[in-house]
Amino acid sequence: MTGNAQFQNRAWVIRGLVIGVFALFLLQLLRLQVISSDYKELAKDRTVRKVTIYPDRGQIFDRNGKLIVLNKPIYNLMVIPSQVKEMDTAKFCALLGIDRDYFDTKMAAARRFSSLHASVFFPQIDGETYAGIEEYMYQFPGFFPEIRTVRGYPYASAAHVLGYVTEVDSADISRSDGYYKSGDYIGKSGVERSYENILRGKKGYRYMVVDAHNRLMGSLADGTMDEAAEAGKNVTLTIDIELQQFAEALMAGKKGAVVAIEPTTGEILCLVSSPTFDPNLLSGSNRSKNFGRLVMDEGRPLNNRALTGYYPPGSQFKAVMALLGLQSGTLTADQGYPCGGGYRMSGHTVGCHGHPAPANVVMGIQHSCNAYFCYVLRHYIDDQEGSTADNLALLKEQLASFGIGVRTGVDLPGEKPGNVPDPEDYNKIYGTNRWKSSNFITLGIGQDQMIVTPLQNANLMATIANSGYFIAPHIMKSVAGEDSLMQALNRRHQTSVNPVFFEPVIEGLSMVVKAGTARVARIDSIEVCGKTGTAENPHGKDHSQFSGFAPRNNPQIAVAVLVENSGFGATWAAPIASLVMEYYLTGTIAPSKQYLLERMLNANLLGNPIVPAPPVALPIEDPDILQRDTVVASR
Amino acid sequence: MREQQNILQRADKPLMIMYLMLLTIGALTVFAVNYVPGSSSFFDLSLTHGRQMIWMFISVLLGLSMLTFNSNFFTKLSIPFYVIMIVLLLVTLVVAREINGARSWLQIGPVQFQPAEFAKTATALMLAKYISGLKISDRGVRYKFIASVIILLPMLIIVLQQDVGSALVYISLSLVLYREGFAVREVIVGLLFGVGFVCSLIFDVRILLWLFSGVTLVYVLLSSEKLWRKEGARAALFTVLIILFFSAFILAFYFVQLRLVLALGAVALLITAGLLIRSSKHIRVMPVLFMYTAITAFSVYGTAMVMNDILQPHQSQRVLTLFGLSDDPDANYNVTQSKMTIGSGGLAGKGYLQGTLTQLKHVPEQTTDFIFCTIGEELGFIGTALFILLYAAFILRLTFIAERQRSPFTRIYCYAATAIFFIQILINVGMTIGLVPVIGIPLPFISYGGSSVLAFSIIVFIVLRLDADRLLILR
Repeated sequence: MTGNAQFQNRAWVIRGLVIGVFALFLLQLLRLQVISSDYKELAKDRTVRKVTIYPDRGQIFDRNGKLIVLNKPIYNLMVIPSQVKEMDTAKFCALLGIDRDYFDTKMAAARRFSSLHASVFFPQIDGETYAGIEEYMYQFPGFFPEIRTVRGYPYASAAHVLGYVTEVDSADISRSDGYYKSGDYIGKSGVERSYENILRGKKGYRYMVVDAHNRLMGSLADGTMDEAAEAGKNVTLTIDIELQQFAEALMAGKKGAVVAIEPTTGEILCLVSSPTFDPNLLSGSNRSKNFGRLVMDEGRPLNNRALTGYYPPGSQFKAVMALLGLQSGTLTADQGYPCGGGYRMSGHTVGCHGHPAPANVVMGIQHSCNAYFCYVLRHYIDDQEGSTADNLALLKEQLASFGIGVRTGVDLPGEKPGNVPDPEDYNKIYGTNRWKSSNFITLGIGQDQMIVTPLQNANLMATIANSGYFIAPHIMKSVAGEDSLMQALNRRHQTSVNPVFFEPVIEGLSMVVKAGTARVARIDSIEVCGKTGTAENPHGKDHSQFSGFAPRNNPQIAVAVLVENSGFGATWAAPIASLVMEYYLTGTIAPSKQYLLERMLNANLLGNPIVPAPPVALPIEDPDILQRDTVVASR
Repeated sequence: MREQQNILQRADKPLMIMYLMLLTIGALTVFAVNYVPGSSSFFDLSLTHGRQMIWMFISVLLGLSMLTFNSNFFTKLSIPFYVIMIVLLLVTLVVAREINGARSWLQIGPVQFQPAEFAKTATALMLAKYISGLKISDRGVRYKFIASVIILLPMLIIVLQQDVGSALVYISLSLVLYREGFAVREVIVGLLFGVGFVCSLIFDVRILLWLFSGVTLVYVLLSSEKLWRKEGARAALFTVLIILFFSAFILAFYFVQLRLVLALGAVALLITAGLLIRSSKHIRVMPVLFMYTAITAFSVYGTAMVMNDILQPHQSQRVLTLFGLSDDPDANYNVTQSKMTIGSGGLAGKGYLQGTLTQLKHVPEQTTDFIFCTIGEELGFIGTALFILLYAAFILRLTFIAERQRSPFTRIYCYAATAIFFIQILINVGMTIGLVPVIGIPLPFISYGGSSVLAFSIIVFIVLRLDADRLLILR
């Protein structure tokens, strides 16, 4: 007992050690389990996966209810290497049309990624091909299809209007406030872009739990936290897809644009930028094959000339100039001006062609008299109260009320405003206030620094057809449940010109087609109004332009056509515009115009082979006249 | 029959109740670990926890029958049992197949077991037998050496079996030596080696070399102050020798080609200095200087040897991981998963059988080494704290039982049991909560495994049997 007692205090040292260690454990457990939230977060990170459910993108219909953009299923053939069993590899390769090398390489890559998780074995098999394989799939365990959808375009048309869909880039992700994640799809141009929020729907999420190997093991909390996906809304566009295809066919082999608008509603009936391309080329896996080629193409097919093409309006502008003159009081409808082959100023002459002397506004427009409108401009600038600069500013302001020099507000991305010079521009050239109307007299005939897009031209004609107002051109006809959007699209813009002044101008535009420069645009039984324009092009041959509307009473369609570097407005633009109007209004082309149709369809002004356009049901009575393949050879 | 009732009445109730509570927690936890919602039944004995319960039943049955033995049986058994276990360990070393890098499992027919588990009990009994036979004054180097050999012999064989975890448990038996009045110098030296080992992992060895040398030199010079006052000439010579020794010792680390010469020179200088002051009463620094030499040499060379040659690569990684020195994600993985699982339990836990991480198999080795994670996840801090407190009470109860013995044999055995349970839970729980390197040893009574439950139960029942005869002096 004495020996024991001698070291008994050591028992307390040992107990102290035990208590100390256990107290340390309690502290560490308190830290791990109660104080720190790091481990709870980590646990969530490592056990919960947010699985995204992608909604179907909304489908797109044309104004007549034809489905023009749909979702096409494609199949990614996936493989989970650990589930692959003995199988007839040769048969498998034959079904997919791959060789043994491809099989071995892909399997090795899949194993390297993970033997427990799916990798893509063969990407983007289209529906028909997959249907042929599907019945044999049970023989190949470990392989299974993953369905995705890509956009499909049954009409292979209207590429610039519809736009395309592709994977988001980092800029899209950072702009989207957290909505887009890498790998998501987004509309990159056209309707797909401007109505992205409506078309994309709402992504859904399922919360799944995973094991230590990251395999999905089931729903978290019985799916009560899941968010359902909402499919994108279907939309109806104002486009008439058959008219669009017809106009595209007419523009084949030409650079330029066609825009048609329903004047009373501002609805865009067709919008063509040529050269164009088959939108299917940018869908799904095709995009990577074709995008680079389209970017490099000299014809710049990705540019939307209808919205962004910068062209001087030329003589088409005379109609507006007349309206502004009449409104300002410096011109009256029966005012005549002399034209002895041009407008003479000290120094130089604005030339004109031979025609009867313009005794009034109607004749000025009918014969497209340059001298007449130089006078109109001069009087507009010089005879109104205020300085030259003030009156030029007034001109710019009034043109803005016609949607010229400003964006029309079309619901398509990338629209450009064009240009109307303002006093500052001339101050820079000539010195402040050291210029007068004679310095910019050709503004009156749509030249100088005047720039108008084809869309603005069409809108201008719609405005004249409406005798003084327009509804901003738009492409969206209806979306269920988006009433405020539709109201915003249909807002009416009144011009600053009194409706009474439109009558003589409309009469003039009518005379242009009846007995003026655009007689080629006549349509039997329909009174067409319009104006040619032959814009001087410093870089080459003049641009052929025509814009107009029909019928004169109760206008149904306003059209602007521009064919680059092709000469007079009456040569190409006027016939094309007339054919578009006739086709839209009557649903066909009269036999007497078939020769014109044939000539327009077959004309190749680019000097290189026409990319074969997709088959179109054209209103041609004798199909043999369409021999595009031989066109190049025969020229 | 009367005898058995008698012994049951005399057995320590608190320890027995806590033992049964721990077994119950073990069965429930093994069930929870392997629980598949909707398809597992607690009473299905074909499942993992069912097998475990059969082993528990066998253990209790065997333990109860052991209570009927005479206490003297255990004192008499200790030597042959120890010898048999040493032989068995050696046999295992030769015949065992490698499992998880260790040759520690012995297979007899269909039964697989780990002799190392039972060797703990044998060593504890042997230690009790040897020390209880000594006089209270027999605490010198010779006795300490023999006592250490009793502990180190099985430990060495187990290290050779590559089962470092089980071997570490034997170190805890030095606690018994401490309690029995042996000097603790070796323990302190051991701790200093440990400090040197850890420092050499964390710091550059040259920094360490200068640090250790500086501290020691200052200590030696301060200690020689009396010598200077009384014996100036001898003090001057001693100081010169010591400074030369330090120079040679330090230079030996820098000049690899001359290392042997410099090292021998340093040793010669140290011995000369030692002889010089041998007869002096005024300075006692030689043990410190020898210690310095040994610890520094170990820190510089020994650490690399331990990390590269003695420990297996995965174990070295775990040591590095513990000190935050590893950037190997695999080495960190187990600890992170384990801390994450325990941490996710929060204050009150997710509820019994509601452990999602457990059920999703996020925990490594979750029925055996990391079973504590399941308690942490499902029962939360309240559960783990109660569990830790239960275990603390269990271990403290063992020390109280030890202290109330008249018989040194029983006291020593009880302390051995205390030490074994203490280090098992220290290492096992410590590793799951990231305080100790990952060393694969079971949590007594909780981890799945027949040998382990049986071996730990035997330890407890021997305590109960010996304690029942606490008024007797056993030899």
